[in-house]
Amino acid sequence: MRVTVLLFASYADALGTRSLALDLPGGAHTGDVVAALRVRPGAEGVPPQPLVAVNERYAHLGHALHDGDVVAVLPPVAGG
Amino acid sequence: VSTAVTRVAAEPVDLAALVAAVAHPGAGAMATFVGVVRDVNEGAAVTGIEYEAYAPMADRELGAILAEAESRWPGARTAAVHRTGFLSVGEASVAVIASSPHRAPAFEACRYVVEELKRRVPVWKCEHYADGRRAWVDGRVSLGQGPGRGFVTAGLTDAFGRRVEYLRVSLTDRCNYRCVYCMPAAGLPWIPRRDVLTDDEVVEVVRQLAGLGLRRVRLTGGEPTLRPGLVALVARLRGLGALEDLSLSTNGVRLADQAAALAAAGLDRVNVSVDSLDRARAATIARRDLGFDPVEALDAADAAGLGPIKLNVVVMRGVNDDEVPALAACTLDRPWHVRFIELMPVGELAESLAAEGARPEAMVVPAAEILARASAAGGGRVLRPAVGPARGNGPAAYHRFDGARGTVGVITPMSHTYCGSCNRVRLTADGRLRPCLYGEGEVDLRSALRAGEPLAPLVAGALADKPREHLLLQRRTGGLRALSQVGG
Repeated sequence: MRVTVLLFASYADALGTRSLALDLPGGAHTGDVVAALRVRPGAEGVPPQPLVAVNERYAHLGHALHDGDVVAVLPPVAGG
Repeated sequence: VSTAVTRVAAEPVDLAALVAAVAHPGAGAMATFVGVVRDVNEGAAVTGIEYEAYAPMADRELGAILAEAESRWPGARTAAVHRTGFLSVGEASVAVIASSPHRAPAFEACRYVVEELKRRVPVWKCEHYADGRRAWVDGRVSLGQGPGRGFVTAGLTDAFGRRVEYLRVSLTDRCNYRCVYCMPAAGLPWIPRRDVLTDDEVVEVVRQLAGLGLRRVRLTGGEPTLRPGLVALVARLRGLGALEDLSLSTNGVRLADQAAALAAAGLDRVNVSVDSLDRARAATIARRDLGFDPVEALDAADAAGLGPIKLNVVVMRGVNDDEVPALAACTLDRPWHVRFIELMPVGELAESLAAEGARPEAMVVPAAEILARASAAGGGRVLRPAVGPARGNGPAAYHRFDGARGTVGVITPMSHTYCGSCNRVRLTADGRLRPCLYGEGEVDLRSALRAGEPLAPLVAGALADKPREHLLLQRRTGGLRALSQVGG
């Protein structure tokens, strides 16, 4: 399956991109996305278990993914 | 129901549009909150803030929060907008408005939206400083364009990116009570006095952690008022100049005598355990009768200015659950915040009850039942969801009787997970840092202190291990340390 990964704020800076496409095996979950990110250069700026959202909703690490899902990896929010 | 203005936007905040969005003939009150970019943060001169949002999710989440507020405060209408892009000092970054027939629900609904927005809406801010640097405010990675480019501030941030700014410091494992839910009747094997952190060591831990972002400290026990020299220690911690909030958890026995001195030394507020208003029953729960009158102690704390005052009540079926209405009624005419705590059938209680063939789970009174029974205390006044006391809300969900001075809170370690917003770590009396109340992991800061080594690497390691959710959620309720040993 192929998913779109969105990165924001400090994580986008750390990994040098705001979005990327990932090809994952069937049965993959959000934790696999984080694991794939964390082997990339700059990944020390992303914690091992960050907040994630799938298709604009907060999700657990371990949330099952489907082809075409949009997975956002979110730094601790800091609005206001 | 109007949620017409529920979005992140690049245009300046239009307050008139917000007012129009919630106006209606029955709206006798409107409460507005405006967040504004200020010129300094944590000592650094700020020239502006760049806001970034995950726009579609931010709109969705903000809309959900407004809908929640309108459902919690029937009759309220709410609207909110959050800016994106670069804002200079003095510009409005966020605006929230709530209208209602009367002012109290308008204030409370507005506050609810602000607090939930800050907690949930995916917006980030990057501060730009006068010296040319810029830094994301989550404290994780700072990328500058000036001299500080690329520096990393790990700070007190755990493996999930939660900012940890709150430390509970157990000053002693000893207690003058033997509460049934906390400690065996015979006491526990006490930590040898030579292993207990000295005043110098406690101050040094807090000083070093303050450099990593610690802002709030609660002194706990055992019973912290049993520690010799407590007043002087409070004065030294306050004298660090780093703490926004310095509070104390106590059983209250020595509070009437010490409240004024503690307040003068710089203590901000107290939480007091009150499991019963009936002296004989309190003595049964505590397994000791020290002739203690909780109302007198709380009034002394009130008079000393140690507010907002919180009462913690561990609700146990068949023991004190019949007092829920009377305790809730204390909030009608006193500015007290009574927090009912669902019993946590772990550690000492679980083991001693199981040994007697009882089921500790059977003593748990669920939050919904606690609230239903508390609501009977209003004498016709309705108990409604509310915003809690101004500081230290922690994991409680607050409610308030119409027109009451205090609030009724419920803390639900068993029914719901509050781990997602947990921002606290604990220091045991013998100097071990525990990232999670119910976790197994802890790191020994005392050895490092006594060897003159810096604490930051150990703290970073401990936070990396802070669990996302505690073991209670997996219903593993045996074999954990007693609460008195880890500071509640």
